[in-house]
Amino acid sequence: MTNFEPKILALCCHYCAYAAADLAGSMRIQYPPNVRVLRLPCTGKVDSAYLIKAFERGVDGVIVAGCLEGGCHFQEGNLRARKRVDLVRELMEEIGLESARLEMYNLSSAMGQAFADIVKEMTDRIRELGPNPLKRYMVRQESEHVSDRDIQDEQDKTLTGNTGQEHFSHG
Amino acid sequence: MWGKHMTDKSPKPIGAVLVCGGGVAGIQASLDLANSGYKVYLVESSPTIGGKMAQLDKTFPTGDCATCIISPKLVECARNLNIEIITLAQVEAMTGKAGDFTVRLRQKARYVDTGKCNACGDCEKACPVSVPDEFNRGLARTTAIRKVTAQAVPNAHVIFKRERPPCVSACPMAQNAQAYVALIARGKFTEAAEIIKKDNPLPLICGYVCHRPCESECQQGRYGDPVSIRALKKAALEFAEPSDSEEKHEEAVPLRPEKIAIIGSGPAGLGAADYLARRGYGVTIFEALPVPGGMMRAGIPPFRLPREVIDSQIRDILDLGVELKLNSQVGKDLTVDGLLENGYSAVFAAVGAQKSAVLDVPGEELEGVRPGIEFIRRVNLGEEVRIGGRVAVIGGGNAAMDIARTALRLGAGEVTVVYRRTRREMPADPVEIEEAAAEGVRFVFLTNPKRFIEKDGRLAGMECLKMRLSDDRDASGRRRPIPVEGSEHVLDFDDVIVAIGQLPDMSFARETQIATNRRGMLGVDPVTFATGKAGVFAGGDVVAGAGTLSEAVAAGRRAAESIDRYINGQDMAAGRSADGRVWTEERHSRLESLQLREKRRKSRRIPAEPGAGYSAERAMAEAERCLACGLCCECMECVKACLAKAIDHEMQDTMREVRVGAVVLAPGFEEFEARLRGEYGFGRYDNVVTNVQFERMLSAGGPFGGHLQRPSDGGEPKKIAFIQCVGSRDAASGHPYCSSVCCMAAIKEAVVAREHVPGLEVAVFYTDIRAYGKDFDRYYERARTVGVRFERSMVSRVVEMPGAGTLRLSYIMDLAPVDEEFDLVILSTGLRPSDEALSTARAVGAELNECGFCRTDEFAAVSTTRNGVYVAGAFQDPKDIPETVTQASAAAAMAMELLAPARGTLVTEKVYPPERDVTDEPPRIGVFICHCGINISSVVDVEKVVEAARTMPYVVFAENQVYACADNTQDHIREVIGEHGLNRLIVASCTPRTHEALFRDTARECGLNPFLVDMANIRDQASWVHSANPQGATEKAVDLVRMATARAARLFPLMTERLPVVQEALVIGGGPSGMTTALSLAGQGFPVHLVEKADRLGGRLGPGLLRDSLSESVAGHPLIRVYRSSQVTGISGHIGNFSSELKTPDGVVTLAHGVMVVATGGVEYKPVEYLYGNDPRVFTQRGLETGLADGSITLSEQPNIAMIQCVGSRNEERPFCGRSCCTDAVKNAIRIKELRPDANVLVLYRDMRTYGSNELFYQKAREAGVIFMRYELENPPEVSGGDRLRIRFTDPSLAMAMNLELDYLVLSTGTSPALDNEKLSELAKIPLNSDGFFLEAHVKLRPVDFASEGIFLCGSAHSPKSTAENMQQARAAAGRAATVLSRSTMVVGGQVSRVDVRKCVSCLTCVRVCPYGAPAVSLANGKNRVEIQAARCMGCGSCAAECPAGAIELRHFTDRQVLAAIEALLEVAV
Repeated sequence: MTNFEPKILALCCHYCAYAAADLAGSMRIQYPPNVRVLRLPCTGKVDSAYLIKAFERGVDGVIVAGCLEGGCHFQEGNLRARKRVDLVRELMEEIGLESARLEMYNLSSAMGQAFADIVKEMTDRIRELGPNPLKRYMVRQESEHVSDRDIQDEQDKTLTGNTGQEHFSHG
Repeated sequence: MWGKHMTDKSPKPIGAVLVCGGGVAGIQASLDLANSGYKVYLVESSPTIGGKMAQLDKTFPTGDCATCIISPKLVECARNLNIEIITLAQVEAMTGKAGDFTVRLRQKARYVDTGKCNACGDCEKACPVSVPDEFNRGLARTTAIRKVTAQAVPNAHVIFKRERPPCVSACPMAQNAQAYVALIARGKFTEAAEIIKKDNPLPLICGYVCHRPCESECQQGRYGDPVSIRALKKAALEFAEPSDSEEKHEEAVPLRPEKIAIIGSGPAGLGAADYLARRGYGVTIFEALPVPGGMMRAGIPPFRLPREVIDSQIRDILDLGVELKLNSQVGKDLTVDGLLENGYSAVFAAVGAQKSAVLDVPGEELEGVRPGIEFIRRVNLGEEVRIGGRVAVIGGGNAAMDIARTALRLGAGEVTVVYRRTRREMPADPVEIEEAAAEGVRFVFLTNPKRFIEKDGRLAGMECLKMRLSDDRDASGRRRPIPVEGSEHVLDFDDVIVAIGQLPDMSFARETQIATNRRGMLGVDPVTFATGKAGVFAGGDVVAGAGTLSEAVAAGRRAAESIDRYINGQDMAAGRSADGRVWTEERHSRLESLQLREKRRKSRRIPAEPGAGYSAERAMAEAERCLACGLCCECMECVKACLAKAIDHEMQDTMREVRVGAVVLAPGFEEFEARLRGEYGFGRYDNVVTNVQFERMLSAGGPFGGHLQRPSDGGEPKKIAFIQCVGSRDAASGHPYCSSVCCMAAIKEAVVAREHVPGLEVAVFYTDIRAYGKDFDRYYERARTVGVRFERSMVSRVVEMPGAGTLRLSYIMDLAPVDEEFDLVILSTGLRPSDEALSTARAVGAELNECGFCRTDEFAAVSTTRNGVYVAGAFQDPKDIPETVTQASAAAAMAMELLAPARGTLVTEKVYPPERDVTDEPPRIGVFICHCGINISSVVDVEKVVEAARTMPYVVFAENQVYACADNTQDHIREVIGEHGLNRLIVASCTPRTHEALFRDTARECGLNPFLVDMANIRDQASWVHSANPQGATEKAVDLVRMATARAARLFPLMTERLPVVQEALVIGGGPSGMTTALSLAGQGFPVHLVEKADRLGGRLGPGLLRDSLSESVAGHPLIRVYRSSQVTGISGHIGNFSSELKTPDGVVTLAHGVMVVATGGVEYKPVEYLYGNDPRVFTQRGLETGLADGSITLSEQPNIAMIQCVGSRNEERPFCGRSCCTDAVKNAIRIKELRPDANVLVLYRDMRTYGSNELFYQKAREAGVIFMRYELENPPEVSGGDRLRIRFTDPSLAMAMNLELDYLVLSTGTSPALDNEKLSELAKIPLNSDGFFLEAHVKLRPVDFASEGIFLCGSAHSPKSTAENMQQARAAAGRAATVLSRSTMVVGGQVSRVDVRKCVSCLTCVRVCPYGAPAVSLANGKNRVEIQAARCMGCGSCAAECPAGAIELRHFTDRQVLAAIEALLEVAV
């Protein structure tokens, strides 16, 4: 594929990595537009399932970016995240998906340039690797079985039920 | 002591506090106070809060990024409803008394409306000014309008202005030279030309022949060549795009019926004509000559000013509708009175000075002697003038130069300028002199004609006198020339032209009675230029004598303004002065210091192309040399760029008054001016930097992006050196104290630098390493282990090696001089009080101590000499961040004690409408996409994003907004929410870090739960970073909005609930720390339970006044209940509601309390070394104190006493410093010398750690004759007893073994952690560090908090400290505890974790994972049940991710919500 532009998910912790991404903005540092940042309170919240789901869904690469080691605002969340990332990378290798598509980084909120560099590095790396091989499979499956609208309706039902439960069980 | 604040209370204190200084201390004090029920005015002199900490790179020992940890605090301050941040403000005066002060504040103009500014930075891009960036200490450049840092709070820009720059002040027309030079530097020639033309009707003529007063005043000229402003002006006009300003003018100004007559078409007349014509007056110029231009044409030769330039400039003015009547001499054909009678409302006489001044020597009337003005006028008007072989020109002005050069061009064989003074005094422009000389004009100085010699009725020669310069000076400040007697000599000339001055021809006024002044000029009012006759004005040379072109134009404009006012019946003098603006250089200001390097580097002017003026490129390079003395140049480019209309250059400083009950001074410090230690070469050598500069160099957000490089050449240094104590421990420079922080800062910087450049060699040159704080020594040892070299030696000087930029350091090592080269040298500059701090202290009446810091009480170190005024941070004494933060909380506590009755009286809480129940509604999402002016829309196709949003599931409304954050947009959003029944809100704009709170607030204001709001960051993370890729940015923006809406559809309202707070405290430990905390909290009105395991209060305090007064105050306080001989045996619950079990002599007691303070103290190390306990002549410092006090130790007249430091400290077993032992030893040594002046006192130390002002005791001890010698850990002193007590030791620097006989040996022992710390650690689930002291939540910013909310620590339980420091920390703990106790209820819930009991298998993973002890285990139905205590949960979600059963969910970031966003990342084709 010649003009392949990967889509990369970046799970960033609120205090450091997300702030670094903002700083890259205020410093107007340019980097490829392939990354979509999803903000989490801490990388400690990064569930292995999020990483697996992202690849299953067809995302080409995933960045997990937390505070510097020793500088986590929630003590050790970033260290736990790293363990999970390592684990998922092993899993990926087992199923034959390049583990290089997933990488964890540590950066402080003052490291705007580093954030841009990370995005560039990952984008180049994923361009090299090519599209997520699972993507093809998933699209076919979608078109064969369910429409987007159906998914929404399904989720809608569970959503309503869940919301009620959340509300009443509180306290 | 303790009752003081109670009794001094005024009857009705004001429940507000003024906090001066927005650094980390001010921020902490403000937050503590505001969160405890007080209104806070946070006054900061700079444009942003954050202080010095915001400039730091990493903090030790954790390696935390300083920005990361302070920015959330800044935002918290900004959001707090009860903190009013007043930036750019200073306290001017204060009246009243403790409890009720009135404070007067001066707030400097920001020139930017913070309410309108959205920090988009468009102004910054437009600003042409380039100045050294103070924040980066001159290592980077910045603009005049800017945000000081990316994280600035308030998040808005500011314009830095100073006085009007010298070039502008010097210009008679006040041409904004700085502005047009700055614009030229950016290649904006058209804009530059507009600025020039705005106040100059003859811009191009000035570009050729102005006398350049601006360049004479140019500050760059003080160092080298001034900026070539005139040539740049010419270049701007030449390279500017043709303008259409005339058309605009015609539309803009209505014509007026009044007519004005102007006599003379020289620069003054034209200047007036231009001004008046542009205001719609009918203007007629009467010119006596057949051509217009006056002296411009008649006096200035065409080789200096091309005639076509004059023609075109005059044409421009005539094109405004000005009528020109040539050959019309007033005084002959017309009269002034006649003009006034014939319909002219006013007359402006600008006839110039057309007559030559005469020498008044015999023979001046001879043929061959000519008046200069007449000569050059005839030549310039094209008449045929012949001139002979040898020509003399008498005079030294510009006219003389023009005449000499004209004579050469007419064919004179030899032209000599004869001048009575020297070249230095010549009034002519140096360039003109040079050019004349280059063309072959000769000069004869100190010579004056005495008479002209006649031969055949014609000039044959000139008899001259030699002159000499006397010491007295004339009105111009030049030395007066006086003739040398008998020096007559004859010079042979064929022609002599006299060019010594010009006089007005007053014939025009013959029939009009207008007074003349003493010099024969026309007399006018110096301000208005009105003559004695109504309606008649005069200006230019006719008034001032021969002046310059620009002065004449300025005079014309000034007179024209008077005429305008005269006709409109206004006061002609109002608001004007004859001469006003004077540039005063701000001496020693930091900017000046930063500019030094720049001045040196840019000292030489960029030469223009010969004969042709500047090329555009060279003009830009030359313009770059401008130092931007005024900072902002008022070019108004920012105003044009700001779409939010937030900029107002007319803003003025304002005064305001606030009423407060107390004041907290936290103004911080300033670093020592490193230039003052000249031997280190700072300011001369690029590669000598200060530690603050080095912090910026290391910072990822700094000038080099965190890449360590030499400022001189950008090369990576291989070898660097730190020089310690620059401006510290230096009585000669006026800084005798130790700056306390520099040792650890240097060690940290050394360690971090090595991380940047692997293999970097680092040497630290020091006297003592003062690693006295908690975990400091461990860090110091680590630095040594990783290879940082520590050299105990002071560097005597630093010299730059030619060419290489390498620096040679000279120092003494092992008694021999050493020279060593380094690539980079870092000066560890000390701390000093800032000027602002001093003026604030003066204004509030707080006295200073002998070091210039704020004077405080030893045992209440935050109390100043003025009651009700407290101090925190480095202004009290140099100190590091944790101690600063501690003091801030302590100062807050003191203010709260003082103002206890007023708590809660002035705070406000926002009231929101009841929340709409949306749980049963299907999601209805509204999306607002922001343009951010053009910040987003110039890259992202906003319309496309809106269209895409409309197709997203559950989106029922989508639209774009120019500024989503604007006030009126909030009104609109609220309306739309109501109108469309929206129950989810997405704003796609900037970062939620700064703006989520705003939009959540908007939602709440119309009854929507704040957790139903989400943002898509399409500016900071899309348009700004993909400006070259609009398509990619737009696609990304659509994706981000889709992810946000997908998540939003699954957001649900989160309820918070209020839990009651038990407003009582449990304090564990009855030593000085525990008692101080108890007294402070009780003083604020909170009941306290004080638990002490011993049977008496006082802890390790020896008997004495302090112990007695504290114990008595505690015992007598009605709100303090003391449990002696008691211990805590059980603790449960959470912040706001703990339950503890005490074992007391009266049985088990259960207490409910909202907070808990751990003040369990430490224990003194009992030495096993140096015969302690085996020889009665050996005791500890405490033993010495007690022995001297109770008389059990007697001193002979000349006792021999030795003290050994670090006994049981800083060794393998206890690798930490005792902190106070050095100071204790020094004080005791002084005491002994006071008792027995002949005593021999020897102190054996490893590093003397008398930090801060304790250094003064060290100095005093040395002055008193106490001997200080060193020993090393590997080679400790040997002590032997028996009949004689002996000590043997080796001083490593002298390499000499000493053997002494002693009467007494005193051991300085440190503090060890209390033995039962471990038990309490388990009970309360609070951590210990590896030394066994309690570990605080965050070393820097939460020094007295535990990670578990509601539990605090202080005193030796935290780390070894002096009693006074322990008590201060104890007060800080009270201040922090008050933030909880001051509320009757607390809000919990929101973004917290929740356990699904059906899935939970009680594996307790969450209990192990949570750093806050939030999961609580309880037994229900024989099964463990885990519940997350909302009050303890910090919302990080670690438990949710780790739970193997998937039983835990973090609300607001549930798996469903996160996964929805992830799934939405890829749009799937249906």
